[in-house]
Amino acid sequence: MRDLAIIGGGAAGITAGIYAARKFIDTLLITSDFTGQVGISAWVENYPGFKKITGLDLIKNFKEHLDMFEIDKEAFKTVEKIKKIKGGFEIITDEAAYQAKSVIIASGSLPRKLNVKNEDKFLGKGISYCVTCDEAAFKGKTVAVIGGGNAGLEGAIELSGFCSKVYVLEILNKLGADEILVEEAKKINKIKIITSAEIKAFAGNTDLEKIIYMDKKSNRQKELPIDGCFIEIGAMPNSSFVKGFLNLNKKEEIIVDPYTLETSIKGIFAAGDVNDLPGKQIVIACGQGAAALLSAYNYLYKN
Amino acid sequence: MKNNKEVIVYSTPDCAYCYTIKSYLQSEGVDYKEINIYEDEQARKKMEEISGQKNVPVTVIDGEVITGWDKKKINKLLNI
Repeated sequence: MRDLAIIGGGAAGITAGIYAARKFIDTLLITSDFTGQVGISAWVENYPGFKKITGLDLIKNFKEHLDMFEIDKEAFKTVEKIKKIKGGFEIITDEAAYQAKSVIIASGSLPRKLNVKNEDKFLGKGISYCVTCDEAAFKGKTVAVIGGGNAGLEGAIELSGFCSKVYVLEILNKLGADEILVEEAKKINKIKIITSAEIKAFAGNTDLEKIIYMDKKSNRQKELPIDGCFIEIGAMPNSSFVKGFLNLNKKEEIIVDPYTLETSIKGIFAAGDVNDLPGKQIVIACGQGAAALLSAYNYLYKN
Repeated sequence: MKNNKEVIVYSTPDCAYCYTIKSYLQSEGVDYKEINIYEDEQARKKMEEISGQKNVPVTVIDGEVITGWDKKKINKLLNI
């Protein structure tokens, strides 16, 4: 049995791994990928030390940093369940099971879907959840970004570099992104921001042709002709594998003690986007990865 | 080279899912050809034609098309 299992290879999991390796803790890091939500971010401009870097390049740097240390990894494995066993926990993946005395869950989050009519029908036929992956298909075209948070505006600014027109549709009456991004987006003529827009459906023949939304200001249904649409409405915690095992809140985030990051079961900690603490940011996930590791280290020492 | 099947990955440089597929194939010792469609309009059209959609990654294993990062399907086609 290992001393520690870390679940997740994003910002929180990698940071916990670096700290664990430096403390010579017998650790296994289990992850389905080494990208997390960082990898699908268009640009990152708020992580100290990197003035402007693509999300994928930043997470590659994190991974290279982790690889400097000797730490065992089981990559490309999806955790399906955790259960209590004598002296620790068993982590069951799609391929094998592993045992550890303590666990840090840093499984992050998954892109949230709108769950509106025809969203699945037009996936890949105009709809994408990743600007940096699929932007090339829309050079010179008219596109929309759903979501006025940081990811949405970063995406819109990126797309304005080569699309003829970029609409940003936000359900609330105000954008949620950092003011610096709102300022930047407003200065770009190609970007048109539409607030109070509740998406109702997507429409088209073979490919996506228009978005149907409710203008909540006038209470009228409107149609917006577009060639492509990127959905950037935040993320859902990747916590289904501990449902019924750990205490979750209504959003299905893992409830943690804000001081120790310990979950409802002693010896299991949760860091980053998957827990119920506010601030879903890379730098916060890294900080929590380090904090969770120090708590786990303390737990192992006492037990 | 672990197997003798032809593996092609259509990708773009900043695509995290493409990076995951390439890392996975490398970890399994599978040789593959990568086609970057970001600047190559013709390659992009070819990818859209064979997959019936525009999003990357698209992996083609001996003519069988897989859209997105789908480990189960890749494993099945490569007998991993």
